[in-house]
Amino acid sequence: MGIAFIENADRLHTPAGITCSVDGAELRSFASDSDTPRGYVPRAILKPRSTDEIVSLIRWANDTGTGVVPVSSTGRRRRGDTVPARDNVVIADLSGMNRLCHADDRDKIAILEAGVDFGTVDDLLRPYGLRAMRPLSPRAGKSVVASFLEREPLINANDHWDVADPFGGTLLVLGNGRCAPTGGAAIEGTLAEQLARGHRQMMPIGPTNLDLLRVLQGAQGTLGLMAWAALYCERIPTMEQGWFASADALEPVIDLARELLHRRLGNALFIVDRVQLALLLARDAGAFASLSVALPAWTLFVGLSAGRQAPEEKMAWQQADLQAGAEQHGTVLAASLAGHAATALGQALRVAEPTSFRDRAMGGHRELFFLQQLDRAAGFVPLVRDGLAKAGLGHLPLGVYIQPMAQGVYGHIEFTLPYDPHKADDTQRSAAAWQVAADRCADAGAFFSRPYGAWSDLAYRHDDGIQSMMALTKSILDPAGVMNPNRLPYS
Amino acid sequence: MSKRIEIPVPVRGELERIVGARHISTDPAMLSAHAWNTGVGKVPGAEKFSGIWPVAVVLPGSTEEVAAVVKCCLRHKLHYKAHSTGYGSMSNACSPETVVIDLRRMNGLEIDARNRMAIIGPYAIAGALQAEALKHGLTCHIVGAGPAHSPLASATSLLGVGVTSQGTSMNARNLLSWEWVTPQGDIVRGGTAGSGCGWFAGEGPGPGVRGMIRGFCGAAGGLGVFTRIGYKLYPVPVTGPLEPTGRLPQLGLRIPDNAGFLHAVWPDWDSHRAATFELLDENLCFAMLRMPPDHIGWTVTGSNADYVDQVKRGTLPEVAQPSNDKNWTLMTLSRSPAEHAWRMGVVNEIVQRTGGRILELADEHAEVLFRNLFTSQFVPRVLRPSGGITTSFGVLDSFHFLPRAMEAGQECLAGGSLPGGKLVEGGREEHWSWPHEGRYLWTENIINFDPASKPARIAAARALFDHFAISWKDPVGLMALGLGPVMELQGESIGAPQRYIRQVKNRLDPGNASRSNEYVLPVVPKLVATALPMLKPVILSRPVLELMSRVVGTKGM
Ligand SMILES: Cc1cc2nc3c(=O)[nH]c(=O)nc-3n(C[C@H](O)[C@H](O)[C@H](O)COP(=O)(O)OP(=O)(O)OC[C@H]3O[C@@H](n4cnc5c(N)ncnc54)[C@H](O)[C@@H]3O)c2cc1C
Ligand SMILES: Cc1cc2nc3c(=O)[nH]c(=O)nc-3n(C[C@H](O)[C@H](O)[C@H](O)COP(=O)(O)OP(=O)(O)OC[C@H]3O[C@@H](n4cnc5c(N)ncnc54)[C@H](O)[C@@H]3O)c2cc1C
Repeated sequence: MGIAFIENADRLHTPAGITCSVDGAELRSFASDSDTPRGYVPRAILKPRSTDEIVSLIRWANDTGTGVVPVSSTGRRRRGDTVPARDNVVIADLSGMNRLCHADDRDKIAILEAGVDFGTVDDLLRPYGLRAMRPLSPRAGKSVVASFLEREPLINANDHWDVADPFGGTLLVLGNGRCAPTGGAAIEGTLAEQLARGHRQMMPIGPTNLDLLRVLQGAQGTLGLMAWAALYCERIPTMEQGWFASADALEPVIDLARELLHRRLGNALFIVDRVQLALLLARDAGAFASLSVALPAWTLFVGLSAGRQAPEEKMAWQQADLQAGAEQHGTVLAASLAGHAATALGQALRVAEPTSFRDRAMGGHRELFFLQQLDRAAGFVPLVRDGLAKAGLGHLPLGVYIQPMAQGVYGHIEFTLPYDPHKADDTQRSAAAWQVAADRCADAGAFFSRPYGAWSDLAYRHDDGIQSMMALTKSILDPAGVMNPNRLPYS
Repeated sequence: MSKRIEIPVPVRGELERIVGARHISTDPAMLSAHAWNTGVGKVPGAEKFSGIWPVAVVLPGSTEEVAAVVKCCLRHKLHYKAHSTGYGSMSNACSPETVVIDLRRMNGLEIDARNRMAIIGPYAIAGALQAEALKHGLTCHIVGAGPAHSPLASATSLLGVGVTSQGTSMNARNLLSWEWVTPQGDIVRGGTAGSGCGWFAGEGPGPGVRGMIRGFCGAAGGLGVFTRIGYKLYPVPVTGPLEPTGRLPQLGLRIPDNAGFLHAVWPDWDSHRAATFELLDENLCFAMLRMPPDHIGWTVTGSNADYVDQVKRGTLPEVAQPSNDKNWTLMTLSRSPAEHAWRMGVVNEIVQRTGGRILELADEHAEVLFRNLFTSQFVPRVLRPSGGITTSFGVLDSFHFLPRAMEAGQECLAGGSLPGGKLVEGGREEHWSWPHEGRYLWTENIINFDPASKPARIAAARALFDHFAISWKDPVGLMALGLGPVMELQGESIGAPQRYIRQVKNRLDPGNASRSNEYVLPVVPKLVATALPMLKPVILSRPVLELMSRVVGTKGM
């Protein structure tokens, strides 16, 4: 394939036809994020509009030895995974590829380009009677595809069979510049031809002995880019209501969650402590302060829904079973807490806002998350709390969010530390205390499946042979090492 | 049989030191058990024994012993092949210098009930796992091979679709953390086990590298040995053993309280499909299975003679009659009478509204069919009529394709299974179909033949090859059985996965010591690789298909 080049002011020859920005302020905005004060300034921001343009961008990067950091979301970024870790890097900004390519209500599946974000996805899907599965209140500019590519947990715990959910087939462009359709998309013909024949790209696995979707998940853009993906959706329910089941201790709430997961009851299901729930419910600092004392210590949010089939009857037995389960496990079931209705929270969770809800109360937050089984979750809470108290940060609120994954086989355990970024002392001391907390959790069995930034050292401290598999993977899929260089420890 | 190779005495000594003298055998009687040519999924030749026998069989007792055996083989330029239960002949040696690593001593089975998972070794068989899991109100996915197979082998190294995939997914998605002896004899633990955090998640830290060694299909012994895995289980509203009914061989299970079990039929595939899309709504059913009526007949009769007799006398129950081929056997599982009433009410309403009909089932038939769906116990009866099956299509796509799949199944059997045909007498098509996770269709068309008859083997091979030609001409949905050499033909038009797989194989196992005929071809000359896709129309032409069928039918595959 012949690629023509245009010359930019800084003498970077980028492939012709791809929108390119070398605006200084825009470039510098990529050199840091909320968690990463200093990275490298990229040389350009390239904005491909199609898979073909992505392919020419990656081939150009291979030819010129330029690094590529893929970005699909917009707005305030964090975790450092999109901050260049090397010089001579361009940003591949896919946020402009934001079309809904296809949606099918019969098979409950839709094909989205990488740039479709949580702020708009439900509007795009609504005409088809569908809506997206979601993480816990993502910000509006967060790319749906990028979110699931990074194994962000879904609140739709009962539909999370496996880490690959909610993906069906996808189209990848690997670091070697070749397209790699995965799963149900690995079939002859263009996407339009496939759709016309009736294919719906529903298989998440394959083709044959390869599962590159699974490989690229969690890779932080270091192996390739995803151009589009078929994603399983939820059919918009006919009836829906939310419930809070609360207790003073975490165990009963987890036991109830487990029971509901075993029954596959609830279209949304997650556990929060009072601080995290206050962050979700409060619109400002004042409301946060009062809610974080008024709410119960631990709460399980349960969304019940019914579809087209005898919905009233379904709602009735679901409610009865939820009520019985809540009593059996010693939790208190309520339709509202401190004046906030659970149903309203369920609706609010579907409206994505420009900034993270975790920043609403104090302007900033630190996050710490990892995987462990639900019955081991409670053990991490005192570890983190004591650590903060020892660091003299006992005055800061600490939020806990536990998201059952793989239908309850394990959970995403997340701590949120809201703080005021204008208070230099809190900011500095919390950074240090947070790293200590991560170390202590790692020693206690936290699995850093998504090793952002400094967690990488913790995640890879065991010599389990996995790094040699990573090196093999990198050398096959991105032999020239152009994708997000120096981001993960491949050698 | 190919020329037997004797294992040199010092090498045998080394292996004895690793596994203990008791756990190695070169006795032909023992080796023969690892050379049985059942040919499941293939078309075996006339011989009951495989042409290749292993040089030795070893039974390691631990992961470390497996690793040491692999390293010993590499040192002495021997090959090796992992063998979990050996159900089917895919674990047979692929070269005469192969040491079979029989993993039956590694039968660890630990249930983690609260976290709905198990930690299992290669010889924890599905039946034992299910029995242990049921004590805790859990069940496991059981592929069509039935209770005797190894879920670890299925999850790491083969396919893993099964009749309850609607409620228990498939094994590529049930595999959690994994422990693996690489082709070089190194021990790798993937996911949480690698970080000492338990066996519950298989991906990370960072990328899910498992995707390089296990896709829709695993490497079938072509990439070392898997020794332990975390495996997802599925909650059911039953605790403890289900109550058996009937008498051998027609054992049934009493249908538990709040479980629904019924068999519905429709007048045509369009109404069947319309009903299916609704039945997939809201996870109404834990399992949904479409079996061809003749296969239902084998299931509800105790012997071939009984089945044939009933066909002749016209006494087959309605459920097994050929006209009732547009069917679903449906299983619902509920926790309360109210939930049960909702599920059954909705299912009945959908069946009626879409023009279907629910058949009356005699208790003895319902109980046998229920056992079959809950445990896969009688699925291997597909082998009963003749001892030989192969399978085709393997569609994984929207139910949109179901009617087309049935039509294509008929085209591929080409009347071979009708009276006077060369295949085992049965129906027009022989599709087994079921949904996965309330989402997509799996359907495969069983080709049943007498392996002792050359014309039957040729007819089976022809049907097998024809299905590729038929579905490439007018697709029947994504076909997942296009494995191994088929990918050399098809791969270039779907992103060339075979090139990456070949790199994985050659980088991890440069000497091809972990030898398997069911994985990627390690070497394909460049010229051949380029020419093959271009030759596809020639290869799929009638005369070439006929020729290939004759060769395979005569020599076996
Ligand atoms: C998935 C699978 C895996 C297998 N793995 C193995 C394995 O690892 N090792 C192994 O040894 N076998 C294996 N087998 C073969 C299986 O054990 C055979 O089915 C069994 O040995 C019976 O032999 P057969 O198939 O020849 O059938 P049989 O029913 O024994 O019939 C053989 C022939 O003998 C005739 N016959 C049967 N009984 C009598 C009788 N009493 N008097 C006169 N004639 C009779 C029959 O009519 C038939 O013509 C496997 C089979 C399958 C399906
Ligand atoms: C009647 C019948 C029906 C079947 N139906 C289905 C079905 O519905 N769905 C489906 O997916 N499959 C089906 N199969 C195939 C089935 O998946 C396998 O037979 C079984 O799951 C694998 O377990 P096994 O103990 O037989 O493995 P084995 O026969 O021991 O081995 C199978 C393959 O895996 C490799 N292997 C085994 N263990 C290991 C290990 N520890 N490490 C690395 N490689 C290993 C072997 O080398 C061999 O290539 C069917 C088979 C039969 C006979």
